[in-house]
Amino acid sequence: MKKPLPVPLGHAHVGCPVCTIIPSHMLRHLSQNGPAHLREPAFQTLQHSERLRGQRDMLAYLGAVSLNTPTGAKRRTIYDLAHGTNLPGTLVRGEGAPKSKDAQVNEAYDYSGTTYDFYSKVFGRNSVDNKGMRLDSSVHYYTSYDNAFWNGAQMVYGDGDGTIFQRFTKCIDVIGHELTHGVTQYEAGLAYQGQSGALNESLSDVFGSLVKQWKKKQTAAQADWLIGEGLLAKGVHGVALRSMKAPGTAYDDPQIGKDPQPDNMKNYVKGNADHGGVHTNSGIPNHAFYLVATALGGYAWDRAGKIWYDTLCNILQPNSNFVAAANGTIRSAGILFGVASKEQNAVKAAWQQVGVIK
Amino acid sequence: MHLKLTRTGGFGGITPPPVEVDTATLSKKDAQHIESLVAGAKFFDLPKSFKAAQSQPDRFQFSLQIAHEDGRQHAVTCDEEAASEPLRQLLQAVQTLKRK
Repeated sequence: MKKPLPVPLGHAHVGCPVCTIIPSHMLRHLSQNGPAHLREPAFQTLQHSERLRGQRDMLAYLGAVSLNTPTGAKRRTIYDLAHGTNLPGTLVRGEGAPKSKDAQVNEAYDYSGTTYDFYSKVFGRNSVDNKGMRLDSSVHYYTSYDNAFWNGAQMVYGDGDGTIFQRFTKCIDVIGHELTHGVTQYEAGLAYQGQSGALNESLSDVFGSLVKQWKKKQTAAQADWLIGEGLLAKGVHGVALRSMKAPGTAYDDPQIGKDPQPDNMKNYVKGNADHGGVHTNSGIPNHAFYLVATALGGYAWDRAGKIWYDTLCNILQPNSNFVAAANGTIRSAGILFGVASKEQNAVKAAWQQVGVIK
Repeated sequence: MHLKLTRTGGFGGITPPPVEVDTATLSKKDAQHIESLVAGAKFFDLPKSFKAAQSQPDRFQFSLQIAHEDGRQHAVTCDEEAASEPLRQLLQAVQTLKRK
């Protein structure tokens, strides 16, 4: 019997291979609010059909006790797609299993572990969903695939083409970036377009960068504030994919063009490409974070990171724009460190400097 | 058949120069391969633009224009994750031709 394919979010063309007569939402409601004698059967039915569909997030949503892991307990699974695209692929390394001969498998394993540890130790967060969700990564997606992405439930990494890009598991901040898309999905749910999308992207760069800095025990002054440093292949004129310190300066090469990121609202890029320039206009909030972190000094995750994390979890909404992020981080800084504190003043000054607020 | 492929988005947000292919300049094998992929993707019947129901962060977007020697012309812009498997194969084949 052919194994049903998991249906990641967004695969609009794939017909659902597992169709149940009773819709999921009804089973979910019954399992939680139905008559006592129906709750367990409803839950079992839901669990069974969701397992067939390969949707782990449903089980996490229900908060099933057996799936909650105590904070600090990682559960990582690494899969090999062997250059195909049928997610997740073949399981090649589970939690606690020995190193693979495949460097990408080990990088995905190690760096998703560091990202988990960062969120756990710095913010007390138990995985992407804060409920101990398993961290699944698939490597060797497609052929010469110059990309990495979060599909709503797992991380996926390409090998790069070797001429412009190296393998995407090489950089810890890429892995931190992807996992943070998951965190954002479970928290503010920032819509992936326009300014809310650029904020979504920026949060992934911010926390991806913090994971790298935390691992290296670097202060804000010591950090390079580059995203994807070392990802570009030899011979490409560039140091990274993005710079939070100096947006627009990361690369300039005929094969890929010049880094288009603005560092100020006056250079905000309009147009429809890239969901309204989410990877481009992220330069503005990225730079704001860099300014706060360097103004305050010390480790960036201690104060700037805390303010940003608090804002992500407690203030931002799916449709939040840059002004909302500015006001939110200013408010959060006031709550965490005091109104008119050095921290709050630094946040306000940063958003003024990038032209988001006056 | 003349094809022009533009790729945007992705983790890097990089837009490489468009890939342009004229099947008349390809080997017979490559030209036939492209033609069968175009047919398999039912390219000329696709909507002008389509997105995924739910965007997956860091995915690509593709814009493919094709002018067939029989006079048909069409341009399709889509999210990578919303493309059918045959369309994905066509997009990949055009990108691979450029690297040859």
